[in-house]
Amino acid sequence: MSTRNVLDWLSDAARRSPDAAAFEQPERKITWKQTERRARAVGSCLASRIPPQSPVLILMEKSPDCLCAMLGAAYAGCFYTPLDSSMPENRMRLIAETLHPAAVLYEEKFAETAKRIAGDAALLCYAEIPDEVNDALLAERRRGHIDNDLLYVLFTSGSTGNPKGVSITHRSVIDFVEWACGALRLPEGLRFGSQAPFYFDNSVLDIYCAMRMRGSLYLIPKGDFMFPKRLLARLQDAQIDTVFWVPSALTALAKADVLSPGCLPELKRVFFCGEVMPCATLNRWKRALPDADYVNMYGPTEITDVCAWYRVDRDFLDTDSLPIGFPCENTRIDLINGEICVGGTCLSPGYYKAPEKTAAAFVQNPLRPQIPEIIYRTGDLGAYNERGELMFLGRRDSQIKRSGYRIELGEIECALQNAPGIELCCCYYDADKEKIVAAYTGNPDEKALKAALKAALPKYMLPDILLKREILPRTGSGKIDRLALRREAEREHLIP
Amino acid sequence: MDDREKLLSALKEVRDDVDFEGQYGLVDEGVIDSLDLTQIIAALDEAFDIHIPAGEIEPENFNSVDAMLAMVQRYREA
Repeated sequence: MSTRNVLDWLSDAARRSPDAAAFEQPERKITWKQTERRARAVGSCLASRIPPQSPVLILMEKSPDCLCAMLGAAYAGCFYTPLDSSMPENRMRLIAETLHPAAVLYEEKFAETAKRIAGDAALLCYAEIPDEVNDALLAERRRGHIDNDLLYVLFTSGSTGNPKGVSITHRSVIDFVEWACGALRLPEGLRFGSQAPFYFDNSVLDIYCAMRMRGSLYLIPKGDFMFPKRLLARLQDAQIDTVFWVPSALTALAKADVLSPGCLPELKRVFFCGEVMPCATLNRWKRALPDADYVNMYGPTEITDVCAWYRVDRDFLDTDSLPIGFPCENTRIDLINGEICVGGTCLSPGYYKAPEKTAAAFVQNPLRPQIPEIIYRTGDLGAYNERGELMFLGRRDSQIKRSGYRIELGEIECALQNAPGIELCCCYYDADKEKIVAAYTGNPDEKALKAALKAALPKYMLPDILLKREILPRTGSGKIDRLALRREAEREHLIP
Repeated sequence: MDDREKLLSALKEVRDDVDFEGQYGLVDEGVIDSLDLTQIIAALDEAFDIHIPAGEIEPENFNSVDAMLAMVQRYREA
């Protein structure tokens, strides 16, 4: 089957495994047939209201309904952007302004917010969308579709204070998923335990590999990740056999000492991506589940999800660094002055409606100037070890990862700078203590400052520590010196 | 300051927009999320000089001020 549209997988699953569970939550389950029907109904409704290839903003909790809404946008020949419903409304508005959606699909409880951010978009309450399917209209949308059309736009933190929208096409998702299903040896009918929110790129592997393999995606309640025992029980009860999580979620279970040999007999595949996997965590998992397949993956949202992978094939010391391994099929990796640069068919065509940002990050490959080839400069540093495996060495700028979220410290600094009473500010991340430290000069009212930050930033970006300083250290070139600030804070024991 | 006041002031530091007194489903109803919880645990460790092992972090212990207070007292005796 030569796939031209990710929905081909959905039709295939609905035809061959109609009554198998597709998307599940503790209290709810829908089959592949129901998913297809509902997504086609949503698609029909959208197609009757908005033109093809227009953006659909989705303001819904992570749920089977949210998935039907996303797939419905694809049926209408449109592309979707799932929003984090807990982010501050100001940030939602920034995203909506960039995206300029043709429709906003929302669930009842977010009705007021949806109205405030929608602009001139069509407002559609998910529950009110009728179940009718207009086959002719969907077929028309399908005929006009090419595989270079966009499937979604995901927004990530941007250093200038505005989130950037990464556009991804059907073709990229198809090539990525075909690689993943083969390389990761995913069996038909597998059961994913989903951790990643839908606005985070790791969910692309969960959703579309489950669909491609006619398996199911069990949406683990977010709250379970706070409570190791509850999470373990959930994995057992739901008979999860595959997880693709951020390492911090795996670490939380490992550190809580709830893993013991034989505790998860169903779990066969443990995959991770999104931040550095500590070998100490891996070793604890391997002691409890020695026969599981462990795969470390690496990649920015700009290359769909993953561009390098390493299947754990030997033992590591707790203090070792785990390789990120080798390029995936359909992608290539070049190290240019130590920076990891990636290209291939899974590469995003660029940032949505941001040609300048796109031109800065997506460039002609300087190693082969005679061949037209766009590569994305990740800003990550890498090197090959003596076995020829790629190692991740950190960032070259001020981007950090916390709980898998990509955060530009510059974006936090922007928000601080805009708060009343702040003169100068600077942030750094203390990875050992997992704390974002923000230092500032000036005389803001601390309560007002905190409120201003909360209004501007999603929760995972809020500084853990606010330090008022008389002056901020400078580098020779006059820039504020993050490293010196960190040394000062450590010397004076300012960080608990 | 008695334990209850100490606890409430520690919670206020984490979330000044929540009225913790009189709420009985802080976790189950999603009033506090995982980032809050991490901060609450750190705040309790510091305010009461206790250590709550990660494996013992159960939702029931964080659903209300009373439950947190009872947990603090258990760990202090231990």
